[in-house]
Amino acid sequence: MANKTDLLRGTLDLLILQTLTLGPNHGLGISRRIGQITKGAFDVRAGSLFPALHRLEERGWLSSSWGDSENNRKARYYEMTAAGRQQLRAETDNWDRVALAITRALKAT
Amino acid sequence: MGILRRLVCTTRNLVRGTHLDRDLDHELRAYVEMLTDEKVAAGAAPERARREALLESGGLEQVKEQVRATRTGALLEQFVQDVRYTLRGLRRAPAFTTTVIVMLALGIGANTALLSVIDALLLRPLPLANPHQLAAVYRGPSGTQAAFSYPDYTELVSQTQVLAGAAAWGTNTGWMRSGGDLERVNVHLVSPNYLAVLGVTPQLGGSFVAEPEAASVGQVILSDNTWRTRFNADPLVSGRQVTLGGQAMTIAGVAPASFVGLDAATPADAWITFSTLALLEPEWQFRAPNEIWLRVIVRVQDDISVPAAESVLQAAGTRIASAAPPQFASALRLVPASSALFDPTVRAASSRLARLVAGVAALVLLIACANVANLLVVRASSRRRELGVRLAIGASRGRVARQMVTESLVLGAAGCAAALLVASWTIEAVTALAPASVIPPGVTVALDLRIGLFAAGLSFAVALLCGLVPAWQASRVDLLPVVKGTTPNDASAGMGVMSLRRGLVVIQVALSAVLLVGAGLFIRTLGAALSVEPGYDIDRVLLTTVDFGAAGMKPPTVPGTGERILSEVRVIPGVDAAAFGHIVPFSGAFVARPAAPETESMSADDEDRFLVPYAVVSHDYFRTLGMRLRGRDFTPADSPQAPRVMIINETLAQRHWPGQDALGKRMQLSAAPGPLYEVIGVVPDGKYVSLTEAQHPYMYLPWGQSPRPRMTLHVRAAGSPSALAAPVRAAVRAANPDVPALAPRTLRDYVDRSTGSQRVVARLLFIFGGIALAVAAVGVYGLTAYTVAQRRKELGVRVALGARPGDLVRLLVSQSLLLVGLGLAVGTGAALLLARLVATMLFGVTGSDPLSFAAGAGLLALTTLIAALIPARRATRVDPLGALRAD
Repeated sequence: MANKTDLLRGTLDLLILQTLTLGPNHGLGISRRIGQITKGAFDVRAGSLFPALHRLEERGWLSSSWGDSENNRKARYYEMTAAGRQQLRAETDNWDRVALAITRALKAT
Repeated sequence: MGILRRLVCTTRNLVRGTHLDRDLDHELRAYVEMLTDEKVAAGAAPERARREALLESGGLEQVKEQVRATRTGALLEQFVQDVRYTLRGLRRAPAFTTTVIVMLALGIGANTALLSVIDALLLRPLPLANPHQLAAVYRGPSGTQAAFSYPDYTELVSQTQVLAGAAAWGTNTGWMRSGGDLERVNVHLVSPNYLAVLGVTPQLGGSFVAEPEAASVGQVILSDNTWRTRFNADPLVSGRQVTLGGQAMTIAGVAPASFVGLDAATPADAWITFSTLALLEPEWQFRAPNEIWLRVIVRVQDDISVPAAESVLQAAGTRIASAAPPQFASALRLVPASSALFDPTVRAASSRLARLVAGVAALVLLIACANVANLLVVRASSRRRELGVRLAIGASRGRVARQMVTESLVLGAAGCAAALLVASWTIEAVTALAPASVIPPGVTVALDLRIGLFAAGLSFAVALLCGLVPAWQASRVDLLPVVKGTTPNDASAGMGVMSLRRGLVVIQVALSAVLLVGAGLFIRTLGAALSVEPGYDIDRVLLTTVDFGAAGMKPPTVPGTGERILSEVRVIPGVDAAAFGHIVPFSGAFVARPAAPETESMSADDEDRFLVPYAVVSHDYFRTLGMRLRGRDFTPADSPQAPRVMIINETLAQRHWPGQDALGKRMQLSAAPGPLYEVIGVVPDGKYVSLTEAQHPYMYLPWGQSPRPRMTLHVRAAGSPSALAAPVRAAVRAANPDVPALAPRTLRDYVDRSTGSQRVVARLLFIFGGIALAVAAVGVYGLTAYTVAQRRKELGVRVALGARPGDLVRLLVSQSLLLVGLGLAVGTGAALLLARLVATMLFGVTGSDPLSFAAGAGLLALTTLIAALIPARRATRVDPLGALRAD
């Protein structure tokens, strides 16, 4: 395992927000989902995940609450807020623009 | 993130920190549990699954730390943490903490106090409107002549093209009666526009009402102090009547609290205008051109600078000078009058003194800083292990350095608080002890915000500066040696530090030597002065000055009224004797007349050679003061019609009639032909002006034959003289209510005041000598302790090879004592030189007094010896094996 690619902070935020579009999830679940939707390209460890989650929550893009997990354990669930949804849209647009520009630059001779 | 949200998050994180940490803990544990479950579900054993889960998550504590670091306000939270940690650490090292705070307090406190004094005297603007537009007018290029006549003043008033206004003022004293009590007050005599030109608004009532040249009822404006003490801060005081100089006048208003006139040496108790002055002194032609008594203050126009105005006024200056006597210069000078001491001569003297004291204070601060820096270096090196451990378990170097800077800040804050305390005490002491020539009574010295900020800034700057180098050095600690358990001696840094510390100890010892020797000299001076026999019973006499002239009495009627007062006073229980004398001993007052034996010829040019100080006294004077009289005392029979008589002291008697009896001899008291005075009595010598004066001749004349308008009532008490103060005042009033009397003082009080400056100097040198001694002792102690710590291994080797404890002690102490010896040599030399400068202030000792030098040097040597012995002795208890191993 262990693709220890360093994720840029902003990209991690984007990924977290994306995974939560489907609904609330807890820390481990979010990490697994990110691995899923990126087809295993990124494996987010606790050391990067939790600081990012708490930072997003402070900014008001996520809200958290305690809930029961699959195995009936008490876990902290994160949910995207309306502001978070807006942020996701904005970040996605931004990313598309940047990716397009870089792709063009790389393709140019 | 918006500012508001940031603020909210920071507060929440700080306040609910523990709660959030608990939540985080739960969350992470749940994460690890779920991860473990995953692995177990994938087939791993529970133990192994849990271990792997923990490893993968990277360690719970690490993750928690990372989350905390990204929280908003993490820096602030870390700062708070650092502060708590620092406080714990400082509590564990009380000696270090106390010493640093005391050093900072002394160094910064002294400078802050000095700054307050300089600010109050030379810098702080007067509480007037636009004080920088104000200027006092002087004559002469160096601005030494301040007096003008009324026509001169009018000439200046007319210079409206450069001056927005000109006011004139003069000072005088007078008697004010309110509620039956007569008190002497300082009265400032001012032009009607005085308050307007200065921009002073009375806090009660109004300014002077416009009045014709000669008003019928006078107006007076009271000072805030007078209003509070004599009128009980009565808000309805304006419009009321008060008696000043025997005349009733209306109170026009009360000046604001901060304003006491323009003469700091005689702060005003009341102001009256010239027209009121005309009522009080109808015979004085104060507006005449030959009465040169006014001081002028002007306000320049808005758009002109003071120097520009000054050059324009030179033409007026020439006109003024042409009407003045030749000794008055013609150049006019405008001296900015924005601070309390604006008079150029006074200001120059004050600045000189301020510079001298500032130099000493700066020196004290430097020594304090050097000490603090040293202490911080020592502390940093003793914390190497602790810092190494912190770095090893994951703290960043920045974090460690930040904590050390926090420690400097905490010490700076504590030092600042202590410094402000020291400063306020010093200001109190200085204001109480400084003579009026240094800090005039009209100036109030106080700490204000600007000065407080200066103190804070200085404290933090010093603490940070001193703490920066050790912080930087310490954060460069190598981890490997710490982990291995062996911390190397930082020899290279040690070398520079050692020679710095050695030099510092020498300086401290030298400075202490100077101060201690100085203290010795002045303490002996004070002792010698106090042990002088004054010639009379100082502790039994009460004095009250009675101003017969103020009641309008002419001198010849004084003895008659005086006798009435004496008879009232003599019947008071507890009074042994009472008499009048017109000079109060030790008050500094001094009058002299020529006195030659009748057998000698004295011409008018010779008179100066025969000058003898004298006092006019009533009968019973010598009994009141406890002086033994040979011959007979003055009696009421010694009237203007009777033959002239006098009483002289031994010195005068021996000077003119050595070996003979002076009784019956006669003297002439002026070169012109006149009556001869017969010597009817001789008294032993006494001290008349100061305890340290040389013996000189003195004579007494009877008041019946040479009356004076102001006489001082001397009362001899059977017990304590101060207990008689109230009855004596009452008796004087009962005898004649119109005659005002000053508040009674004891003779002991006058004597003490005359030794005031010697007392102050001795006290100050004693205190500073003590402080310097303590600092030097701490310096020597610290140096020796440091050497012991550095040389542990070597000491261990010596002990292992058979050295006895005594040898070790001798080895360690001798090095420190070498430095002390050097310091003593330098200090003693400096003290000898400096003593020459103050030789005039010494009494009873020479500038090279062996006892003072020996005592000072001896005390210093003894103290530093003990200071070096303490750590040296501790070194002898070093376990040699431990020392050899531990390094």
